[in-house]
Amino acid sequence: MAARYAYRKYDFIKVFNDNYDMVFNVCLRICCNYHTAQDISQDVFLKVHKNLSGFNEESGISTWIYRIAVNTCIDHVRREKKWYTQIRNLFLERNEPSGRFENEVFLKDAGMKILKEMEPNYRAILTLKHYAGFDYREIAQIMNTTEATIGVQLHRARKQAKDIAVRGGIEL
Amino acid sequence: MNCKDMKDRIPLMISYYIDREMPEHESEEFEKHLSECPSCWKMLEETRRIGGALVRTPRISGNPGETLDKMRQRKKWWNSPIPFRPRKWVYAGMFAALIALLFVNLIPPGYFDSKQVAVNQPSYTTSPGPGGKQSGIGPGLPFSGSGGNAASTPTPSPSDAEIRTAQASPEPGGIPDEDSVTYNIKLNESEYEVNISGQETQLVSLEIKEGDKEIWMDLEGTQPEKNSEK
Repeated sequence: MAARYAYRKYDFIKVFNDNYDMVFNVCLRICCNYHTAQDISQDVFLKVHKNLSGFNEESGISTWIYRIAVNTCIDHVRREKKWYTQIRNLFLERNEPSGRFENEVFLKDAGMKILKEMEPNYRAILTLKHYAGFDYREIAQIMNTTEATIGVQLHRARKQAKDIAVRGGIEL
Repeated sequence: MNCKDMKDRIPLMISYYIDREMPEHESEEFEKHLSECPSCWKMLEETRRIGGALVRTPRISGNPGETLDKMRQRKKWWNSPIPFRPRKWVYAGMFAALIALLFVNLIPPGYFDSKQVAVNQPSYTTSPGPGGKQSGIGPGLPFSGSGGNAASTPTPSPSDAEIRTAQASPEPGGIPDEDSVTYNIKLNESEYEVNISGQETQLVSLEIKEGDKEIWMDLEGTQPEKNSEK
């Protein structure tokens, strides 16, 4: 395997092992579904593999992978909101009743309950800030925007989260 | 600091304060205000609780092995090498090279290794021999005017003042047998007389005069006597 990837600066398997766990958990928090998060993680690493040789090193490789993950997740959640996707998911759930265990476990958590009700963009920002622990500069790089915008969006996301907690009677 | 005047800005400031993105002097002032204002303190605590709940979300271990196996199952993908994607500057370089190539092709041949000079009344002292009819000097590539016609005629008329390309040394085969050719060349307001004589395909002598001064060069390219009087 080492010989196969010897000509590359970045060893794909190493990149995969170093980043998979965090990418999966970020995807889980944005998509709020275990199986979807797994599928999206796979898509993310396929994209990483495809574009690894063209990675321009303007940012760190982790930042670049997070950007791919966040964009893929947001696209997926937006697509899921469409009616035909919702109908498809309904059929999929009926045909696939097993494997809901993981969903039930983590969706009981207060933080996940709040995230599930939020807009995908705010889910991503709150996850990157509180779960991944990035600062404004890093989040701005991942989301491809400015630090000032991230400050304002974080404030709005927290406001929305507070409203959801109050409305849903979620104890924090 | 009075929070009643800044009611709209307080939640944003709390957000910046919690994230430690507030400048130090503002942060100290805000801390002082928080210790004195219970409503702002309450707002801060609520925001902190939201953040705390998100931090405490369970870390689920995914299944990297399964994901990698699924990726490996796509044999076509797994066996294909990571595609080569040149960076932007490579594309830019290739484009620049293409433009340069086109530009070079547009330049007429011999443009860089020749001088553009005015040649007056080229005269042949003897008739051309069997080796060739035309002088090697001024191979007949005029840039403008009627030079093309003049260059192709063996005895050009004296009135045909023309722009010609004069090379430093003529082509070996271009000199008529045992003939000599004299050119009067005007260059930078000076008149030069160039006399070239050759034998069969061999250049025998090359004489260059500026007025009465002889500034001729021998065939090795040296200048034995500078400005020597003839």
